[in-house]
Amino acid sequence: MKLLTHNMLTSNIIKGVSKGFPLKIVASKVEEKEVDFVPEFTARMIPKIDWPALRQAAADLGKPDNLPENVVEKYEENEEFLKKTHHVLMELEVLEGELICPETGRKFPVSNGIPNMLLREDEV
Amino acid sequence: MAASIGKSCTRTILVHFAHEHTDFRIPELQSILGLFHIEATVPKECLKEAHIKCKESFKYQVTSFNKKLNKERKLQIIEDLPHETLAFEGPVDLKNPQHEYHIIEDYGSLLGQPTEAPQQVYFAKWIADGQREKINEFHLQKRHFIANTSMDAGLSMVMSNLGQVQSGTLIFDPFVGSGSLLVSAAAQGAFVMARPSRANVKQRSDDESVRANLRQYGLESHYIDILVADSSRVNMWREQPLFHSIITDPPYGIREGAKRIEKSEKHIAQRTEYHLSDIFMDLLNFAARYLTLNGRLEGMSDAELHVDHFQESTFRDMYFKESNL
Repeated sequence: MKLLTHNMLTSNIIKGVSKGFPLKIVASKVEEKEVDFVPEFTARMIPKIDWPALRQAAADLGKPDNLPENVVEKYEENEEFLKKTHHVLMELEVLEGELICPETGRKFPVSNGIPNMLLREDEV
Repeated sequence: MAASIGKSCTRTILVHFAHEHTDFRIPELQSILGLFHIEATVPKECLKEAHIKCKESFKYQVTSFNKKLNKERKLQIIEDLPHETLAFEGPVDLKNPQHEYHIIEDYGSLLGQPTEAPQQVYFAKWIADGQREKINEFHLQKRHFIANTSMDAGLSMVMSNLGQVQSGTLIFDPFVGSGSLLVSAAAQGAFVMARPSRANVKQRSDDESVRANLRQYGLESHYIDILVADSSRVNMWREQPLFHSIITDPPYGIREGAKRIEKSEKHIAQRTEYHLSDIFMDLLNFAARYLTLNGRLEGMSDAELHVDHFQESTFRDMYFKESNL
């Protein structure tokens, strides 16, 4: 699971949960994998990103210093900033671990890099 | 034979005449233009002359469909051309010609059974190559991991185009199988995410995954994630227009059955049938929330179906009484 995906996921599917975001990451296995840098894609994603949640996620993975506190102005033209963002969004992968609902503490497993967001029948 | 009209506006138009009365072509065109008060510059002669007299290098190329022709035959075809008419004034250049003229012989469409003589012979100028080769490049026969409903490579590309998949955008397939649609989308430069149609992704070996299929084509960088989720729970995502296109081949129960998780009184039946009308409704709900402005939802349907619960059940009963849905 890349942090781009994590930044989009909520646990609002659980009955009674309305602000299941961001999910806390407890990772037991993280991998850094080089991914081709496509600046236009990264720039397109930035407005969709919840920035504090992304920084928190990076911190959860033990990579807290990579991102500035806020999205910089004219980020489209700032290659250094785009590269840093690209690295955090695309190159850090949670292979094994758990995503934890901030409201209920319900744990969603991440196994083999794939998050499993299915609920049990008594939770829906 | 054709005549070009141009200059009056910035466009050049190619006019193709179907009739054979060559002497009347230009006068007829001029008359019609006059009738509709269209201002246009019509050349005095048809394009043929311009081509022949342009003095630029050229070559002939013989291509055949449904039959292989040997070198001698091809040469013969070129020699048999009416060289009095095709009296190109430019030099022949076989390596780097400025113009290529193709003689295309069509030996019918019965594969392996060419007609005795060509059904049609075309003479045409080469303008540009198409992208048909891509179908071979992405052919399912060469793909490592395929499922029983993998989408044909050509059709996947058509769906990518219909879904206006663009380079550098994020694409989602909420019912992915082996990822054929995503391979096409990634080949166009898009980044792909998906939710598997079936939850058993973990049972597959490492090299049998959507990711491995993308890797096979050197497209792994365009893989974002696969996540196991219930497609009927659209609020799993943060409210935000995330996806530029959603392209999918949903399980209508015809080729691949659909299941979803539902609350059960008895705690036995964890999964219930996922009706077609519900699939549509969930897809539309999902698209309405998460597609970017002017984004596209593109879905493949196997048959003409009515999104009507009664009709759908009847349809299913008719065809799938014995199935394991």
